[in-house]
Amino acid sequence: MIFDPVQICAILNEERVDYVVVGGFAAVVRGSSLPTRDIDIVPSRVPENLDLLARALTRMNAKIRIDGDSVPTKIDGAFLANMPFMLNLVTDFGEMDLTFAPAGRAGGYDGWRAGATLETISDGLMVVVASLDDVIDSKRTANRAKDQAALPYLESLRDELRRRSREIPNAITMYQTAHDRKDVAASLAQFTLDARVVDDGRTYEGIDGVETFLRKAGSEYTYTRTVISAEEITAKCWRVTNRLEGNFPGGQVDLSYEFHLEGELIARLTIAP
Amino acid sequence: MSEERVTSEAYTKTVDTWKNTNEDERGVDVGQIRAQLNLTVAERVRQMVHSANVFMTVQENARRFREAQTQ
Repeated sequence: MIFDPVQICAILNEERVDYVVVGGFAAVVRGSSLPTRDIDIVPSRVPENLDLLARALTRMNAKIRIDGDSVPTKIDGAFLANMPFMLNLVTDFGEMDLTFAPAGRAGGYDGWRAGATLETISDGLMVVVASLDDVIDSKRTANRAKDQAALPYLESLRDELRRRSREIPNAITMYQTAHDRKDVAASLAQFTLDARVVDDGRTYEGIDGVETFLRKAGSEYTYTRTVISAEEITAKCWRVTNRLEGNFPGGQVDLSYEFHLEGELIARLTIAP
Repeated sequence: MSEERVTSEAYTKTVDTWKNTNEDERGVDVGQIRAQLNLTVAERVRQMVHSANVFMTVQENARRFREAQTQ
């Protein structure tokens, strides 16, 4: 049997199922190298969504997994609606657990969705993935032996992520996250009135020029951004390397963003490969 | 290798110098975490899926070998 969680998510997405990836696979997306051999999801329990989920599971030839055996079952929306907590499945693409109310404060789908973010797990495939905080809380609450073994690593991972985000000046973080969601106003608010942006050799002067840059940059394509490194060059200068992955030519590029700050705002930004 | 190096005292000294300075207070190798965070999400997933499938293949081969042994 192979384990192909990417194909599982692709089918779920094709059938427009609302779900959040949780558990070990979510931890991998967040940066964990702890192994996992199945994918856990929390689906929305809205009846229409359970019908879509049933269709996706049928496409994957999903069977119920009990004590290492697989039991063929007719899975439809009504069947899923009768599942109170959890359904362990084996599909043509590996094992999958449907968890309707995982342990922890997040509760059901809505709680997990609130803290989750959209992540690109493969070329052109974006899925909703639980936050590391929620994954850790869930494991702490479940408190099984395997959860206890994983927690120190996940907590150290969270510390490292917090350390990386804490050190970067607020204006830079706010600009990057606003620009990711194409919020021009929020991005622009991080720049001084006489700011200058140099992108791909072209210079945009003043706040109007910066606005032009913000409206133009990334408008043709969709992409996700991962911070590869953040380095304090001087007290007022930071260099952040971001890896962009998306549907632009080449599919992936590492860009260096050099920020010069005046006070709390960005006075100069130079973007180059 | 001289015979001196195989005494327990010698090994104690050697082990002390092997202490992993990358470990945090939980005993977790932070260097490993940082290496993982330098990968994109897609790269992390690709690596994990490959590792999982290799692991399952090894397990399956071991199981078949054990079954063959008992037959």
